Amino acid sequence: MWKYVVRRFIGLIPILLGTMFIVFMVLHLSPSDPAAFALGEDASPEAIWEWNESRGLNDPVLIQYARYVAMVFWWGDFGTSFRNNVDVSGEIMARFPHTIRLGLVALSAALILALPIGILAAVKKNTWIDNASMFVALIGISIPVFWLGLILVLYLFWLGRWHPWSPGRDWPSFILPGITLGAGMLGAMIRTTRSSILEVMKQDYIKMAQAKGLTKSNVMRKYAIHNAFLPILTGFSTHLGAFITSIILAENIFAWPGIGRLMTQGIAARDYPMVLGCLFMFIFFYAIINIVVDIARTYLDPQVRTYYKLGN
Amino acid sequence: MKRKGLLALALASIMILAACTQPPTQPPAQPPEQPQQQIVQPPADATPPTVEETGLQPGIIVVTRDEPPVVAPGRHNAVAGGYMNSMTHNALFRIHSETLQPVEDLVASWVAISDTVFEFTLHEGVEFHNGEILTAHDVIASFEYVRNYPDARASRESIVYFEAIDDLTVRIDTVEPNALFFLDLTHSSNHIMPASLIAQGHDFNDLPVGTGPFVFEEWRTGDSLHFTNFENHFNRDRAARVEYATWRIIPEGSSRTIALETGEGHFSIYVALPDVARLEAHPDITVATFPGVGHNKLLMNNDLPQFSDPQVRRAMGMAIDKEAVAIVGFEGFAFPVWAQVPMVFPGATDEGTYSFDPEGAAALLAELGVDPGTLGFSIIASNEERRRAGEVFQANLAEIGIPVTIEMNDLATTLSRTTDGDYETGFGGFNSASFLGYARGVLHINNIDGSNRSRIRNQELSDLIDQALATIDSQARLPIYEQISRVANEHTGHIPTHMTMNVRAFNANLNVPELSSAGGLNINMMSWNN
Repeated sequence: MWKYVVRRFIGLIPILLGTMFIVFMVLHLSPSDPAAFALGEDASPEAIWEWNESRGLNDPVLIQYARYVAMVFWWGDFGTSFRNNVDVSGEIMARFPHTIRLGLVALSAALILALPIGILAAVKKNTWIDNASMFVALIGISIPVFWLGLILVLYLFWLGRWHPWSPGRDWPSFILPGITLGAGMLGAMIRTTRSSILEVMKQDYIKMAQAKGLTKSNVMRKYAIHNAFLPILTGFSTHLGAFITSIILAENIFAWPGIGRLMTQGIAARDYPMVLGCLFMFIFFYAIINIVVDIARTYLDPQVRTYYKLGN
Repeated sequence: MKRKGLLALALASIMILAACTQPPTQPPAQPPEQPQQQIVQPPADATPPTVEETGLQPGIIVVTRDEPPVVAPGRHNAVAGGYMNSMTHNALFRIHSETLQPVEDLVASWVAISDTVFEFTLHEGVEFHNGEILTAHDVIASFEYVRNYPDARASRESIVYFEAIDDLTVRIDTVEPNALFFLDLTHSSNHIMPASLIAQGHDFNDLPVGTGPFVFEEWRTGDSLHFTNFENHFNRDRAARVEYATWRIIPEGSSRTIALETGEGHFSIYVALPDVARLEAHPDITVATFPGVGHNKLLMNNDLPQFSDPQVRRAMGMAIDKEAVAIVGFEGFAFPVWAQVPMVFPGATDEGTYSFDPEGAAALLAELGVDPGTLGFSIIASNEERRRAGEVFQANLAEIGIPVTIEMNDLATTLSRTTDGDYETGFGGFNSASFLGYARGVLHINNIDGSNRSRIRNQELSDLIDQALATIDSQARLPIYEQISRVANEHTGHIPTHMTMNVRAFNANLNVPELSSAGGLNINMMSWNN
């Protein structure tokens, strides 16, 4: 088991190196010069050269990449922001808790609602409850995050003259971004839960349990939900990518002081170290969560658990 | 069942822990309700009330679009950063909000030893926020400090040699006569910081310390910046009138409008143009609209064959209905311009320009023997306003047979492509508080691959600009400015489109005596009526 965990973590290194390489090249090959943006419309050619030289941008791209990788993986240093000359690691660490808080609030709320609704929809299949659940799920999946966020801001203001300020600082400020962010995950997880339960309900052991005279609730509790948990977990890990993308959008709509907004500000300013630093964090955490989910799946699945217990 | 209970408990705990934030620091109480009235801007020469006359008043919340990249002077070239620097720091000179001319700030008196050497005597007893007293050594240390950062290089090029003569006297040698020298001394990159902190390696981005009217308190990245009144500011006439000033960063335009309407903000710098009419109708809000110094144009890459002939460029300019550009592109918050240089500066002339004459444009092209169909080009637009302006160009030029396409690029790409000359045409602007600053930036041959984005290669023009730069006497420069304007108008390096209008909206009870065309805000001079 431990071998598996270690192997997964070692596998993370080439993933990070590869994705960073792709992003690094895309940023550097894009037709724009960070100096031209930083120095503005009144920049002189000498100032542009000096600015690029001071940040090593006059060197070949591959040398810049090698230097960056060495800096990140050897020294754990993400460099200095082009936009504001501050330490990227410090800036990310200052913003990251805001992103984590928003993500956890939205995710927890979505899961707490989605799991019972999905189970209920499966139990009450083809009833109005099922239809209503599927309608909610469809809305959640279909509405784009950027549209939902803006509509919520505008309508809530016009209806109640209410707009939560101080993003990330007080409870009410979590409501709108939380709804915006959680809606997609809620819809996706309702559908995943429902279909997983229905799939399990078709299995022979469920029929056997029913034939043995177990009550419906007992069958559901002891057999269906327990066995549906694995596909639900798998579904969750696949929806996580879209959820992380939504965080970036929601942070921008609600001026949330997290790393998603920091990254888009960095993209607009061609602040390569900041973009790479934020992206590193997103990739790293996405990979870590996936590893955790995989390990949990391994632990929950008796077949796989036994496979590793036997020394594989 | 037990496991499910634990799971529910864990999820609930995560939710609670995740949302547990530090208790919000409330800004001081907002001003009480004031009687609704439209403020009347005082005349330009009115003396604003001093702190002693008014007493400290409740704070002001400014809502703004852009977060400053840096709050340390000299380490950026951003307008948003300049606003913050002017809260906490002073320079030797400052820009007068009405005349746009440099006037003494930390300097009490000065003398020109020659055309290149100047001696400045500082005010006595000027206190920094950390309690230290300003000396000439602080000025020297500050000038040396900003040399480590290339970001605002242009604004310190004239300050070549500098030394402290005594504790209150600084001598600066520009080596060559430089008419922009005094303007450079006003720039935020030449703000003065304590020498002792510079020597200690203090991070001025973490805690900016200066002599300015406000003391920096807190920067909540992505959210707000908070400043409090500096009671020991050396100039009581320009000391802050209010207890505190908070800058709230609200990137989205309609959210800024809502903040103003609900009273969450008192002053909005960047008013979303579609919201102006709504704000004007609001009884508790005043909207101030006044000309800015931003001169905007269609940049044309003069290095390309289709734009190499000044007469062809002129014909294209004649075909453009600039009134329509201002209305369609900028909802009327712009005024059309024809001269190649901003007409707001003394010495600028529109002699040698042309007017809207599509038939004349077609006739001129026919006279030159140029087939309009071969002159087609693309316009780079970096935002919606510029795209709409581009559509006016597209329609007008189609009338005389020139096909035009529009491509959208983001600002960073637009700036990069126009700097490198990797474009045909694109919209651009240039802000300068002086004629010479504009001319040197936009028209001088040395700034090709820099701010001379149209790549104007006119030696006569560059020689005239050099001559003006070397002429220290401002009156003697005026005839040279006229010559520069005339030559630039005839050369038609780009197609001027409009000058921007600055639109500010603020609480009707707020007294805002200094709204500068150059963009300065002077929050320190704002006060509450009653």
